[in-house]
Amino acid sequence: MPECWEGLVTAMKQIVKLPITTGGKEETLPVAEEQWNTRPDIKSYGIISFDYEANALNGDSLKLDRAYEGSFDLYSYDKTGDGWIELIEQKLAEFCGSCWSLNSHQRETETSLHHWEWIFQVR
Amino acid sequence: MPYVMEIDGMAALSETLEKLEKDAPRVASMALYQGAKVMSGEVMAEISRIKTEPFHYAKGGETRLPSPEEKEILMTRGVGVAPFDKNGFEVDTSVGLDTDGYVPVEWNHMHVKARTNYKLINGENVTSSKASLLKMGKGTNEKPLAVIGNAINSGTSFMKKQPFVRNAAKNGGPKAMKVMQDFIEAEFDKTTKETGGNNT
Repeated sequence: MPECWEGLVTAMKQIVKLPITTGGKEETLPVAEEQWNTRPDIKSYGIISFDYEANALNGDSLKLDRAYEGSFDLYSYDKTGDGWIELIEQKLAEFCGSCWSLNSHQRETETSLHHWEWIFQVR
Repeated sequence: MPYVMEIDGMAALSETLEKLEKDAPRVASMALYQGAKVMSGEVMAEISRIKTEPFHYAKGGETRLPSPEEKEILMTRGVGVAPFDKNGFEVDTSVGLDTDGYVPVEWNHMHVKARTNYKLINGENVTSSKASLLKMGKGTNEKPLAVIGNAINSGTSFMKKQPFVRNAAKNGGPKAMKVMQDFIEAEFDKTTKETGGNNT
């Protein structure tokens, strides 16, 4: 599948609406709101950031390096990501080909939350 | 009848190529250093653009921005260039924050609950807040510099991300490449002139 920014954005937004079965019940991945992140009442949540849009495509050269960029953050109290990791990476691979990578995975000692950060760049 | 072709300057060319091969690792290292300087400058420029707000504990699920003091730590500790890793013609390095440094900061998303799992050398069990007090003074704590940088760059559950390293890589990458390319070409010209060769 060719790298497609609009498709990727749609896929990322879909991820947080797709139901996933965890612990015998279906649930969707909540998305953090602006200036409001930590959710002690839920097990996992995601943050989508589209933080870079530069070099709009022009007529002379349609191939520009890293024209769009964004990231997907997953926070989970479950060290295995509660099943969301596979779903996120499946969608990234489907719509972004090889333009994504897992940038970091760490555990916050302050909150005991696990944090995964995927970065994607669409040329 | 066989054709005879005479080529002038083969000796000079051979000498030039030999010198280029000999100089390549040195030139590559110097070029890489020039590029690393550009990249570290870009990272510092991005750090200076980090948005801040006065320190407060992020309560009730709110996110916060880094405090001016946390930004100042990154500004003053600066960005460094790692020792070069040379392997034949390959030279490798990285630009980033010191991964060994520890700095005193007020740093938590919430007030730390008292715990009694800190054991002093004399065997006394103390709370974490008392342990911090003994070590750094009231209200302060020690955190690795890299953790502060990473928390700002990638964000945390209580701090909004400001990807300054990635932005620096995007903005500075092409500039660094240009600087390195120009440097290598200049060195190439110098070598060919020294040996009497012609690079055109």
